[in-house]
Amino acid sequence: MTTIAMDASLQTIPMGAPRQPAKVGECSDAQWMAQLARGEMNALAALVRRHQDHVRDLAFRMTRRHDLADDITQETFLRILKSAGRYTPSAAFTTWLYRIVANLCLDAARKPRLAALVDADPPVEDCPRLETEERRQAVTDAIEQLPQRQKLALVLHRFREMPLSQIAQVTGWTASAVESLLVRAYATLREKLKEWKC
Amino acid sequence: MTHSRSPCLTDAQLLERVQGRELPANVLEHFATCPVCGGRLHDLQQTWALLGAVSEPTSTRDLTGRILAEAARQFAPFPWMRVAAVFVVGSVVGMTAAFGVPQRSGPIPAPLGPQQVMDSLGIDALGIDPELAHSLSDIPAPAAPANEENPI
Repeated sequence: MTTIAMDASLQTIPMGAPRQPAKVGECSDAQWMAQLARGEMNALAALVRRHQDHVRDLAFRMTRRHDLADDITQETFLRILKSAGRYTPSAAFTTWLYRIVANLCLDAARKPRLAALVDADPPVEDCPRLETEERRQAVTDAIEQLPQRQKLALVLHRFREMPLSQIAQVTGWTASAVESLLVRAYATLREKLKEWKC
Repeated sequence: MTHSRSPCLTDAQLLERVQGRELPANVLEHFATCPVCGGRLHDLQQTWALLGAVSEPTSTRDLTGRILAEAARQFAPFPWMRVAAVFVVGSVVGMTAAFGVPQRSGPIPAPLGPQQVMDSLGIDALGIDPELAHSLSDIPAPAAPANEENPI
């Protein structure tokens, strides 16, 4: 098996984002994709293990539901499997991956039934202090109330720490549109959360 | 207050800066001396920090098995055979439901006896010995006319 020290695509993962770089002896994402295109299902398993946490985290932040996040994660990797034969490593694998997730999240939000359920099941977390729980809820609610496009841009920028150029690649929007969405999103959040400043 | 003559930071630069990314030297020089840009970045950093201070409960369940099982189900070899089988079974069930099982009209005929079988096969017409035919039949063979050319 051909190995490389570091996957080039992983070098584009933004700072601060949880990353699982390919270790020495491990295949890169592009190599796994090549194997997947040949029908080797262990490559799919490797890609799932490497990226499922990131995918599910993004899906959860967009949908606020663990079960829906799991479904989106599953569908994401099934789409990768379907498209493996057409994949060309011209862009970072993670950009392509997040683009699939983003589209699925926006699709889920467009479905009325799912959109209604998204708000119905807020996650519960054990918090030692009520103030922390209240603040968490306030932040969660503020993000939830953002329009879907602003929310997606915000999640990719704040929680995946993607540069604007990569957000534009993932979403298919122009860089200026991403910039505008982020400015509006942060302005809205700043206004709604002004009593919760750290 | 005086500050660098370079223009104020764009929104894009602020959004990159709040992520901790490096900016060009002239931009940083301006940023260090411009209270407006400093204030904008401060506001953005506060919101940024507030969002980051709230951790999200994340599921750590491994979905690998579930995804592989679903992939195997959806991408099984020869999926067209499964479709064809479903089509054939569905067609048979549909036809049966629509038209019912074929029924024979009238009583079932009695089985043929040996003589009737031989008659139907025309064994006599083929010149088979009537005695032999008789031995195969329960029905007595008709008496053959005796004459000189044919003493039997």
